[in-house]
Amino acid sequence: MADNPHRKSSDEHSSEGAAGSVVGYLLAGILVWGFLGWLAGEFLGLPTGIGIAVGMMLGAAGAIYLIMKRLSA
Amino acid sequence: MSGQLVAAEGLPWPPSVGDFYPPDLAGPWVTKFTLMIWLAVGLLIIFFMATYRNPKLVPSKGQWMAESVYGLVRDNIAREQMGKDGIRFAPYFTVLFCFIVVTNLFGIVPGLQISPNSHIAFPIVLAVITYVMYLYIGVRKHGLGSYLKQTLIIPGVPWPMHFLLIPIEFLQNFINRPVTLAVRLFANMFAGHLILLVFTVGGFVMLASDNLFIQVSSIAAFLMAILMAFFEVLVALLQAYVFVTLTANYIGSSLADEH
Repeated sequence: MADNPHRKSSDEHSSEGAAGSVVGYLLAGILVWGFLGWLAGEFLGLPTGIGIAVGMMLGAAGAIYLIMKRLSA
Repeated sequence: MSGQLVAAEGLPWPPSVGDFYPPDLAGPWVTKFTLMIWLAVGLLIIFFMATYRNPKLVPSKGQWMAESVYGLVRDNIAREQMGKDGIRFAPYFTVLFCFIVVTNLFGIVPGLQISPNSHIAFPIVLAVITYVMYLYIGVRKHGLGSYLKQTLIIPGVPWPMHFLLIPIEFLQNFINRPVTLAVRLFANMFAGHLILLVFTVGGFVMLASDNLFIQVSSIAAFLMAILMAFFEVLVALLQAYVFVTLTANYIGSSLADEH
């Protein structure tokens, strides 16, 4: 709760909001890309589980990248 | 060793979802929850009207209480989350905070003993208000196109990454936010009511057993029920605070300038 002199520039993400959105982004990434991966696997006839696994990993990586871009600096 | 549950006959054991549906009072449209919502709204109107009708420089006790709540929400939620833009939203946040606190506390008020927020319909309505509000405010401030662009597209990212990131941002900002807002409040109140039911009713069921050891052990269940009732006060206040804080955070991010 220390007073941040640069409050103005970053008041969009206070500590509570940031903590919540980190978890949210990770979940959202894994969910949406897991689903898209599953869809792709179904359509392309890949062996069961490959699509969803690749999708979830891709989603997690994307979410981490997004968190770094959005919440750092 | 099957204890004869004579005295516990008619108690809802084990507690189930059916216990969250008290009988209708007058037809299907007037339930206990309808009355509790009216009561909460009435209490808040009376409280704020009475305390602000005749404000004085040296506040009376009631005025001091109302001003403390307003000051808490304005300084610790609105200004903390949104900067000085938050001040004009502080009256809504204050009423929202008080409404959630009062309806949550109904869960442990004798006679009422269930929170309307333990039915997901009520948190959904509150979350929909927040959802419409931050979308409308964002669109009004930036215009539809640039609001979507600002929300979904991160500047300074190589363009192929957008295929990966836009679906994530969309799910997070337009679906996860309202859903988690409603479910968080609902689940906390639902679980709290169930916990109180388990320990209280369970205590009576144990007391009705024909085994002395189990009868004595019911003391632990009743003690736990008392403890959890106090814990529920904490949860009621905390969940109202979290709900309003996140509402302020979402509206603040709609108002924020381009990164």
